[in-house]
Amino acid sequence: MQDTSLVTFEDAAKRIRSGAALSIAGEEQLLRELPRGKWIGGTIPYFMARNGGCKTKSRLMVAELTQCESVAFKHYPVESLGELMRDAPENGWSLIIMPYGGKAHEQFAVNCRDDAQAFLKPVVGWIAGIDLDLLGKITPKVVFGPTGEVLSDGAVAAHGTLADGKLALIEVINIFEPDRLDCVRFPSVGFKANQCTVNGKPTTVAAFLKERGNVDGKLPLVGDFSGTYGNAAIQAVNTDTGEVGFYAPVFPDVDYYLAKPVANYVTEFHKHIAPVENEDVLFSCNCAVNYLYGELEGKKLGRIEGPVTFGEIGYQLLSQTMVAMRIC
Amino acid sequence: MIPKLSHSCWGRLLDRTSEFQTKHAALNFLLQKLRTSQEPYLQKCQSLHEFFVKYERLLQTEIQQLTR
Repeated sequence: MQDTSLVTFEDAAKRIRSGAALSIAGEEQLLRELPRGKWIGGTIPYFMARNGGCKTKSRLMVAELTQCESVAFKHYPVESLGELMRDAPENGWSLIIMPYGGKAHEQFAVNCRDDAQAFLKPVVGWIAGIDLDLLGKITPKVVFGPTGEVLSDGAVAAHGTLADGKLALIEVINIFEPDRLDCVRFPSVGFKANQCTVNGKPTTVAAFLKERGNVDGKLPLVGDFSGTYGNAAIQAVNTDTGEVGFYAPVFPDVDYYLAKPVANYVTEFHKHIAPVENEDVLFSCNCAVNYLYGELEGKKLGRIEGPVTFGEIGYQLLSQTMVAMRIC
Repeated sequence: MIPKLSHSCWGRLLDRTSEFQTKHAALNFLLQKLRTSQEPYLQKCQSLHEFFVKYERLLQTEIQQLTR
């Protein structure tokens, strides 16, 4: 079973001192004061907890990285990010955390698919964020537990090696489906796009969203990655310039469609989580956009716990999605 | 049993000339990347073969589809 829980600062410190390998999410000040040890952390005040979605700055979400033979921790400055897949164990998993808006966030999102080991070695993780009420006042951070460093960019990683006969598998839990009405293609990879084609005809992304009644951006664009749906959640729509910003990059080799509306996020999540939650989930996270638009505060989504994030990593950067890594 | 690297199934899978469905996100992401990449054809087949060898235990339904 998943060994994750929302705990007090004292409990988190106690678990670090016990020598356990941990992934920790929470308020920056609490993370700064934790003892050094075998852990990585990222800032966020939103969580999917046992009793439902919640916002708290007085507790920390601690996930114990169990079920493996060993866990190695490493900090990757932006210029070393390319080493991540090389360091990832042949049989195991890598859990990484990066701050939202940094160079590492962008580089990983845009380039990770190009690595020869991409999708062969499971990489799960999340993008650290902030209290949305403090936008522009504070910045997201990650923490490298072995040294206590608090970082505004780069990535912190835990690489878990599994015993022979065990495999790590990452589930992409996406409550959105493509409506298949209009096929959107982009000329290049990026978090922003102005020009696109819709059913082969050139237009701007903002014009398309306006025509489809989605200027508020509540519905993501759903990319069809050969049968797995990866969302590009919409961050901003500028109808004057035509430009649209996304929380995950769009790719030129992928067909995108507007998502079908979701009437009830909680009902849909329950439906999608059910096949996964009885499995051996080691780590999970859900998107802050789902938390907001789905009004998940106080709502319980099965038994899976984890941070609510500014981007989810399930082999590649995703958004408006939930990911869960399980050991089979 | 996983077909050998020389088997035509890998090419058919890349070219979408055989019906194939999987719920494994990693495999779908890999297929999407390989189908549109400029890598040499044999290298793409090798990547797919390597994936199936590594995850053989979890891909029984998919392996059956390869040679159907």
